[in-house]
Amino acid sequence: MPVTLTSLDNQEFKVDKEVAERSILIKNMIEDVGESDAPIPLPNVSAAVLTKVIEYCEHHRNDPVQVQDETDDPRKRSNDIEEWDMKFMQVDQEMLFEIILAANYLDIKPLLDVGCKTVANIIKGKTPEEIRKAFNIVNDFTPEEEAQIKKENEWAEDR
Amino acid sequence: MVYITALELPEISAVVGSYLPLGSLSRCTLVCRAWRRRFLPDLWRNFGTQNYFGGRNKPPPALSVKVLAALEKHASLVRQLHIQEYFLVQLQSIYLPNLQSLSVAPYFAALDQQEAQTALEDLIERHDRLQILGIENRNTLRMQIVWDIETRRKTASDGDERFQEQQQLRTLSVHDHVLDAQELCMNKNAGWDLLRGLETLSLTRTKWTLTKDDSVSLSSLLLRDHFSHLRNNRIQSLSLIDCQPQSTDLDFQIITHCQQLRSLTWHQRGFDDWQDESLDLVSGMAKGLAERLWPYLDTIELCLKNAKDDQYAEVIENLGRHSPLRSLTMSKTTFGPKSAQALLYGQGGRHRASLEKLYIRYCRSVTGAMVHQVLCSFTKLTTLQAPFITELDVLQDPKPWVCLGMKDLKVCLYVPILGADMDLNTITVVDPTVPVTSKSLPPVVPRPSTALLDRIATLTRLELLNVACRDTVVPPRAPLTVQHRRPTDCWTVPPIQLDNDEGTVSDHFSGYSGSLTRLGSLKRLREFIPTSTGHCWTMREAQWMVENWPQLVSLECSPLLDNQMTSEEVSLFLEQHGVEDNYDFLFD
Repeated sequence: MPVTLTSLDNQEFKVDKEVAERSILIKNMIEDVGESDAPIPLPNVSAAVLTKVIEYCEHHRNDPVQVQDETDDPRKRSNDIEEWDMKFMQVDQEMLFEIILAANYLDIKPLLDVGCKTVANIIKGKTPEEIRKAFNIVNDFTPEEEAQIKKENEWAEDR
Repeated sequence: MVYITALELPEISAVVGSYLPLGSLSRCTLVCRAWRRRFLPDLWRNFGTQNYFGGRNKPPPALSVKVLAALEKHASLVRQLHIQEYFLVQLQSIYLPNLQSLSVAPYFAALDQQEAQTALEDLIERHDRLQILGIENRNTLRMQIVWDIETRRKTASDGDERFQEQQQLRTLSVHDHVLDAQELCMNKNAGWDLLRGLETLSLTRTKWTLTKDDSVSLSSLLLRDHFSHLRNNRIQSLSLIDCQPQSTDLDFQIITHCQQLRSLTWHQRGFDDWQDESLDLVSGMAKGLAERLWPYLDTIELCLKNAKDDQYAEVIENLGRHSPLRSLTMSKTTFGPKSAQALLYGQGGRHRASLEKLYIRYCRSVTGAMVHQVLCSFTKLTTLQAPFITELDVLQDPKPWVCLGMKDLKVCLYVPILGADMDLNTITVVDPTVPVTSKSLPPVVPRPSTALLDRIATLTRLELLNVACRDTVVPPRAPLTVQHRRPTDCWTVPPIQLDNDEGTVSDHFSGYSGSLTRLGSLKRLREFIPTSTGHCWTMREAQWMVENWPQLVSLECSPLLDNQMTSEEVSLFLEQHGVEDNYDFLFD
């Protein structure tokens, strides 16, 4: 049975229940309310973003549920993004962060992960100045503070 | 702007942070004040424990004056601390109020034992939020210190049970240690209380003694009673590795008292003079299983050198009857026909419907027929490792594979067996005919079936360990060229085992070159370095790889190990080839 989702700007999207339930938020909503034809309002997600999110969920509709990695390594790899996901994430930065926000709000863990990996990959290998440039951030440290932090962080530099 | 808001949410920046190596985290804290607030906790949370790109363990950083000052400044952020024993003394002035996990290991330089012990005890004594303690040390830590803290905590938290739960030590792992059982009984049994409260206990090469000097075998009978103090414990995960050379009796005493056990690892290797009574313990284990002594046990790893085939068989038989087993690891050659029989056709057989992971290591009597049977009757199996299978022709029949949800497979080389619809993610092939230590060129081995990789749509990782290099096994066709298929993204290659003076770089790679260029979708290449040969790629070889393989985005090797290149040359190399966003060069 299809489910209707309504975006922030009042556009309606009809998607398969299976696809919609990739979002744990929607899954719980459906479980709480029971089968119903009433559209599900998603007041935090714009139509443009919702279109992307649905595209992702369609593609991953048959994925098995993620199991938590058993390793106790707190640092994870970020360069194991699947090819399709990689292409999917080739959007401008604003959209990238919108997708991450939506994934967080809708509780779609794999999408949130892929989004955050993409951001991590943007950050990786960059100097602080390059990061500022990439994200349009103004440096609000004094030179003294900067020197102090650099000194504190030295041990981590090559790790 | 929107993206600022996204990263401002702590749950999002935490996820991003978890994908960043420490170097990047460190640079993030230099971007601006807001970013510093966000990423500083990530940077300091697990000090010294970083194990980025698994398997490449770097020792924890040296605690220089500068690092110590920084550690002191961010003391409240540190939850986990892993340090080299050598620097224990330096920590005497530091208090980390939120420290939950402490582990100490000797890396290079050793500290004077007495000094190390005092410093360690001092450290433990001052940090009473510790929940996880790992000690690798060849000396006796007075466990009394730990017990005392536990007692203090209990007194301090009387009447507030929740508080107590959170504060209690949950994991204790001890390597190369002497535990004084008498000490455990002092102080109103606080020591035993502590052990009882643990969820995970791991003892490796650890001896129990009554007093520091006496020999274990004499005291073992006495200890039998002591261990009854362990009754009603909460230990769910127990690992006993090569403790008590003379008597496994003590091991068994502990195991018997852990009735909440979910996971058991029990190794006893390398002691030839096992007494018969010790061997009975394996039967004792079987009996315990029959009596449902461990109703929750679902993960077992046994490596008991002198256990006999029929004893293993008895254990397995009883496991199958009583336990919803999920993971089974059997090692050593004594796992033989009878054990296999029990595994495959045993009366109980519950494990055949519940087992997800099966590891059979160093068991040369495992046959292809047996593996075939395992594949046919174990419906939930996702991982099978049996690297020494013989009689491979039995495996030709692809049928049993098709119905399986198999994800990881580790079997012998030349296994032309893989069915079309398998869902494999990892294949590891091990050539049993070539020892890793072999310096000479290994005999030419046949390639695996050319269609092998082509048939597996989901393969993302192919590891070729211990496989002869020159004429090897790179499949002659790009394995996964069809669009909808997932690219193979990681490939582990054995080292090149040629003398350095011999041939040119491309000669070294002639075995690979033709094939490599066809591996179009392959993106990461990792060198496999068996420590025994010490050989690794030179920088020239690395360069060759990069130049001939434009798709490559990740290359892990250690050219500096052989002093082939200076670090300046490495930087130059990296500069020349550009380090793109997703481009990892990992050079030690």
